[in-house]
Amino acid sequence: MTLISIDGVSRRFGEVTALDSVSLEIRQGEFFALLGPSGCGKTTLLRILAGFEQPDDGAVRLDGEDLLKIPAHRRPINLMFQSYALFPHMTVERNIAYGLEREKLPKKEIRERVAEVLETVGLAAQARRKPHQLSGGQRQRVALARAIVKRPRLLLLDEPLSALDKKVRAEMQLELKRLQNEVGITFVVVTHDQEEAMSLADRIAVLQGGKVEQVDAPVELYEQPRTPFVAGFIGANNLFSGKVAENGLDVPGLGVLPAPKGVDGDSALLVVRPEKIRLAEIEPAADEPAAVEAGETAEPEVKEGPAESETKADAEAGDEVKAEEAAEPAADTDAQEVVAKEAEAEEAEAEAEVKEGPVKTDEGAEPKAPKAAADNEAETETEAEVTEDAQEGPVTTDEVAEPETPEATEAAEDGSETPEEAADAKPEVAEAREDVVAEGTPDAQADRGDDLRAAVKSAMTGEVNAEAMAEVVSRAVAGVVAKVVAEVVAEVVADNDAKARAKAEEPSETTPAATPETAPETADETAAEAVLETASETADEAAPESAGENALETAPENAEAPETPSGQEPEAATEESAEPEPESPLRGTVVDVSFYGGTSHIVLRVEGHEGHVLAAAQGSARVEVGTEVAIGWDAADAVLIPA
Amino acid sequence: MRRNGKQGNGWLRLPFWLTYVFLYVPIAVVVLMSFNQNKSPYSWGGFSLRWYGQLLENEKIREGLINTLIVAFGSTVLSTVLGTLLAVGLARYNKSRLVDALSTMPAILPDLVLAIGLLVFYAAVRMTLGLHSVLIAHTVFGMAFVTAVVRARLSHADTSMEEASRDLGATPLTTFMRITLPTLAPGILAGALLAFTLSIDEFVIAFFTAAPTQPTLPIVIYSMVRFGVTPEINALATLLLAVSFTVVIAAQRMTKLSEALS
Repeated sequence: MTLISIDGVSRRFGEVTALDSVSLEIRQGEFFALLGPSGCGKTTLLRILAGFEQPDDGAVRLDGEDLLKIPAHRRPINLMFQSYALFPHMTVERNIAYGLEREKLPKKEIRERVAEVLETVGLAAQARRKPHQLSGGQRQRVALARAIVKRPRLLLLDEPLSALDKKVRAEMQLELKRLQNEVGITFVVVTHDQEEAMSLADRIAVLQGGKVEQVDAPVELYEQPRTPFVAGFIGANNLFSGKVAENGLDVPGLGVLPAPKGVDGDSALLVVRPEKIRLAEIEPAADEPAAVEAGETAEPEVKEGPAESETKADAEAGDEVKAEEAAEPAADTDAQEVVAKEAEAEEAEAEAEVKEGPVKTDEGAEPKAPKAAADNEAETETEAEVTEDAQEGPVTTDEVAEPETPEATEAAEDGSETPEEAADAKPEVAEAREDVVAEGTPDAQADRGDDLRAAVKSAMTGEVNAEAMAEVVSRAVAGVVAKVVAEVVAEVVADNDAKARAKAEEPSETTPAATPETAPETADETAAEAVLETASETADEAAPESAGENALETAPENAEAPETPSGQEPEAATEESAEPEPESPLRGTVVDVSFYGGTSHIVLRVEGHEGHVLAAAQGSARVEVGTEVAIGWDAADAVLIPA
Repeated sequence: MRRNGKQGNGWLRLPFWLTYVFLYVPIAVVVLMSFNQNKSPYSWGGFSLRWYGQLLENEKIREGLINTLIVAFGSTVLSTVLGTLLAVGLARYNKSRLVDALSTMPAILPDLVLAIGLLVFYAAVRMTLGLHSVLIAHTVFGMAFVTAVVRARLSHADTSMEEASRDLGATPLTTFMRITLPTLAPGILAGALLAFTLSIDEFVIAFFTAAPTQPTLPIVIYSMVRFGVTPEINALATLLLAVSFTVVIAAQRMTKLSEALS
């Protein structure tokens, strides 16, 4: 529900245009941020909302009512000033009561409400102090209390954290979010600090030069910048401008770089996040390949995506990531063949889904490795034919049965016993993963794969043995199951063909509920429920994730699932599977490596490119300054912004 | 800072103290002589409060003092109110530097110019001279001082405080009374004290604008001094000095206090 609608608002100060036809909708109950560099007009907009400034043009409506006609002191809007603007001659209590006294409320009510809000912000003990006797953080709380005690429809916060030191700031960030939740007031925060905006807000409007550049949830802003300014402003980014070519972006001096599809011949800006960049040492005798691309060093031509899996795993699995990284090279080679078949058979949908889990990523990346997969192509085709009849059938089947998304997998497996355990299973799986990684050579895994076949099949047909499944899970992670699954899929498909077809008619859903509906044949009901359970338990992650699975390239879905990294690149994924990407021709030299925030930041110098290329890798990247590396990324991970 | 003074540049302390001697020896002499038993300023006859006693009995001086106090209080009140309003108005609504500069002009103008101007003006509007004319004249320059002091305070006051007040639902009038004035109070007080002390011992303007029948204290003193400085005058000067000193120190304290608060 729209609370505030700002419609074509302009404001000029002499020669300077502070706001240039700005239109925004702020929804009831959300935490909204106006983000931009200083002088972008954000403060002017805030002051217009508060009533201290009148726009030259445009309209501002609150609940459909013209807000501009109401003087500042009658608006149901309160502002928390950057300087806090506490009244120095009044005690904390009196400061907070001031607004209520203006409403001519009875003394008793004022006292009660002041006491209540003091309790909320945790300043009951300081009620009788004067502002100059308080610390910065406490003053900020007073300012906040003074504003929320009026119970405004909208609370404006002007750079709320800028005057605090770092530690207090982190604390207040949480506090603000908690308060916003608690009081249910719509918050609009103005800030030039993107971290502040990203960590606080549900949606962010990026302003620049008095214009709105993009309004989106933090994740979309980061993953899908729509203007060059946003791409450069939010986080670190590598920018390349060139012309769209058939299979990438033709950048003068650099060649054709991997890029998502665009309109041929148009000039565009290619945006690649440092963490999406893969590096591979060029010298074959490389002794210490960067952790990121251990896989590549072995097989430079194969474009599987450890870097990508890393980022996703990063978001989803946190600490497991490292184990994961190490696992990739081993698992990849093995899984490759299998997955190639699958991928072809399953088409885009499966692909997109594949991208979600770390394990999946390996598999999903396969088709990008045409060489490795080439051997299997013949086989694959036959497989594909089989499955083609029941296209939708197998797809959904896999969704449930395959150990691809970590959550889905665990849920499915454990679910056969007790749905409640689903959540707990995660750490185990993570460990198992590590183990496999540690010992598992491709050969060993292949052997075990045979035993697994039965287990997997039973999982799909519903006769599940819990222990067997636990095994499945652990091996799955290393990619063994992928192979088995692929084969079993073919078998199961034959059995389920008819049923699958019936189910196929059902429209694909965006809710987790889709899973039980579309795949009853393969996973038993309990498993399906387990998926649901996990979904609700980890509502933030799981729900949007499954949304991503089925929704594919629907952008609106993404908007609603801001916190998931999974929904991010479904469309790119589709493209990928459609045609193998050309490799990036970029070669660079490592200029600097630094490690902070748990991430290695690698600065690269690329001949012919202005500025540096930045790469980032989780954990410590053991790469030496001066190393020559090949720089690559998946086209799907890059964003193309038409110029 | 203090340590620097002690090291190396010690000889610079000599002119520093000499300046102070030059400034305060004459005043010290007046204070000393007011307690002198002897009438002659050239010999010390012992400590006495006799001149203070005589001072109180002096009809003329008492009258002059009363006149002066009336003028001082009246002009202080007027100039404080007007000066504060002027300062706030200038700070909020005026962008012209010229208007700004003109507001404090009477404080800088030679007293003589102001005095003659006022006299001519009174004549033009056919106003009779008396205490009221002195009071108005003193208000003119007192106001300039109040404006200057309050204006200075306003310029580094946080206007967001007033916005905060409006934001919290206060009308402009409430905001002015409950937020603006209290935050300006120390400045206003300092300005008022300044105007008061200046008015008490103001001579030139009062001399021009006062009626001969109602002289203010400085004029009385002036007429007495014309026939030689008596120890009575010394006593009076000492009293005036005490008053001014107290007020100045009080004003300084106020400003310090207000700075600590903001």
